Amino acid sequence: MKNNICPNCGVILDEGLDICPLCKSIPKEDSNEKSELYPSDILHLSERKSRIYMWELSAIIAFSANLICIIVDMVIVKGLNWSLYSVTAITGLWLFITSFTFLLKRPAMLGISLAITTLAMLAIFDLLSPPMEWFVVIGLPVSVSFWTLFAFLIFIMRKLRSKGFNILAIVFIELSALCIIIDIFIDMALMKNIIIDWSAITAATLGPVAGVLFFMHYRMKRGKDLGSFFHV
Amino acid sequence: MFNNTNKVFNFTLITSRNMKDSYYTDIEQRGWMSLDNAAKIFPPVISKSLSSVFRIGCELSLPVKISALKRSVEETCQRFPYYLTSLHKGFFWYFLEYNKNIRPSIVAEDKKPCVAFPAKKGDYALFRVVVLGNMLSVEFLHILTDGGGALEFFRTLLVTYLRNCGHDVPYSEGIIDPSSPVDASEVEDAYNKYFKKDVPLPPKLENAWHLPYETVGKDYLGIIQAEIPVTDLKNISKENNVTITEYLASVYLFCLQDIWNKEKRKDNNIIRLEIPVNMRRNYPSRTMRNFSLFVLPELDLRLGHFEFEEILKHVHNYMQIQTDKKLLSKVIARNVKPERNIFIRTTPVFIKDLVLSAAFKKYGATKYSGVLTNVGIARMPAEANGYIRNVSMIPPPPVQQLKVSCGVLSYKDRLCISFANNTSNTELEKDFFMFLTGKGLKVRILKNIWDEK
Repeated sequence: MKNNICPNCGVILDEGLDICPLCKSIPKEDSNEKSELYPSDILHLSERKSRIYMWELSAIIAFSANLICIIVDMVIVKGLNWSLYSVTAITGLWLFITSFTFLLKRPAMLGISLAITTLAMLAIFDLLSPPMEWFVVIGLPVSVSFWTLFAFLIFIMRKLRSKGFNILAIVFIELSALCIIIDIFIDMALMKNIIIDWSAITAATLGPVAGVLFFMHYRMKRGKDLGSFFHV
Repeated sequence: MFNNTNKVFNFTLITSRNMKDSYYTDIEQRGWMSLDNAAKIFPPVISKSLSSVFRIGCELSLPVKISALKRSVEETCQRFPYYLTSLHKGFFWYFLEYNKNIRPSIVAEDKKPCVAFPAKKGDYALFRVVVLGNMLSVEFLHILTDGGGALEFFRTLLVTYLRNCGHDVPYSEGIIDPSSPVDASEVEDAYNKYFKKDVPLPPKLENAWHLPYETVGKDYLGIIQAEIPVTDLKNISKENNVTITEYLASVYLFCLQDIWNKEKRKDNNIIRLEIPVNMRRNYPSRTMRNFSLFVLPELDLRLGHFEFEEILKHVHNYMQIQTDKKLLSKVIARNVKPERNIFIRTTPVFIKDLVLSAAFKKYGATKYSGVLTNVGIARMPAEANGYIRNVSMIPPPPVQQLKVSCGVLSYKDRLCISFANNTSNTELEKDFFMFLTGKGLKVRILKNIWDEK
């Protein structure tokens, strides 16, 4: 077995140790060797770099797709018509990709960015067919409610120590809440009179299911006696 | 648990006259156990960076056969059912819930050893088996057991594995045979058993000096391992009339003193080492749960510079006095008394969590400058010698204040010293090993498998 002795510390370095982990000095026989560079060293990309390259590629594709839509619209309709919708959708999609590329490790910022993009897209869609009718009364409150509930779900999921049926139960409760919100804002926009009907049935159905799921998660799965939980 | 200690032992109160089947029935009846005294501090303080996980591992002469290993883990776990538990939060205390289906994960070597367990998420075994090529290790969360218990489990696992690989290795040298009955005393809370109510508490200690280095980051843990011939170390210790642990502790303190001397800003003048002592040697306990206490030899540098020979004398006398059974009972009393207090017992666990984690942050390692834990000798049957190259112990990652901790374990004529360091400065390790080479000892630095990852 080949062993090197560190010239500085005097310790025996095990086979395969090229640098002394104590003083970082290099044994003589290895000091002149140059480390070889392999193709994989050059081609290997960090995760972040790969993400940025993908984002740049997505930007080129989005720009090209937008350009093609506008040119085709100009040629066929002799003006900007339907292409405005597709440009809004493609740009919105690209903004989603941008958010995921740069904010993946900052979930709060990612959520805010996705929410703003969604709202901006909905507002532009409504603006494209004036007068602005549905965005302020339905699109905005429903979107804000959706993202708020989603953020709350993520917050709860991060706080929970054991995850299982309890997450599904929370999703059901949030879905019930979202349905009620949608029902309220649609009623307000269309009938100027709030009657919670279909959403109440949804909530009444999902509520007990959520209760059963909570019970299964916290009681049946654990199945522990109260003695262990309350031992003094 | 604290009023009636026997309640804890009821967990396994089917004694050796019964065989395993009876034992299982009893475990299933109760299904849980309280944390022992040493384990109680860990649930509120464990985190990704402070994992409180330690490792006992070995290098085999051949790569690990995974199918044989899986079988061996299964057989060994059957004999150590008190480790088949997961951590849960009660209303007043945390507790360990028995789950006959829980098994340690068998995982490939990670980027660093002693990675944290998702213990507080429940339903996770609090120990794991780690494999890389010829390397086979077990990692235990300190909540479950200490080095003594882990070494017993590891020895049984290793012999079972060698047998499953077709080698004729007996369960000798005190190694537990997986087919032997489980003894009730293996699961006792020995701290409570040997607690004496009217014993006075030991005096309070002054704060100790700490290494001045900056920690690298929460995910960093540098490991340096070295082997020294046991015979040479034993001889040099004998020449100085001290034990191996006392000798190594003296070297550690001497190196700390050297670093202290170089420091311009000296907040404290006390250099103190924490040395865990296996209490099974002092008390007739066979517990496989935690049962160690600490002795804390120190140098008061206000008295001037200490020569190495003076340190040897100091450490030897400290160790002799502090491992006296009567003095140890004072330490047990100090540790166990608070948890028997009715107000503390009836305080909800979330308040205990807040108080304990705040207290740990403030006082955790303030009383000592370094840790040296010598688990002892990994005795293996002579028939296993050809299959095992070395056995080592890696201590839990040090707390932020401490920066470096040291674990020692010997096997045959090789004593393996492992330093775990959460800074990039290896001055202490360098000084430590250079001191030993200066005394004529052959120090072989082992290849670091984690640096390559």
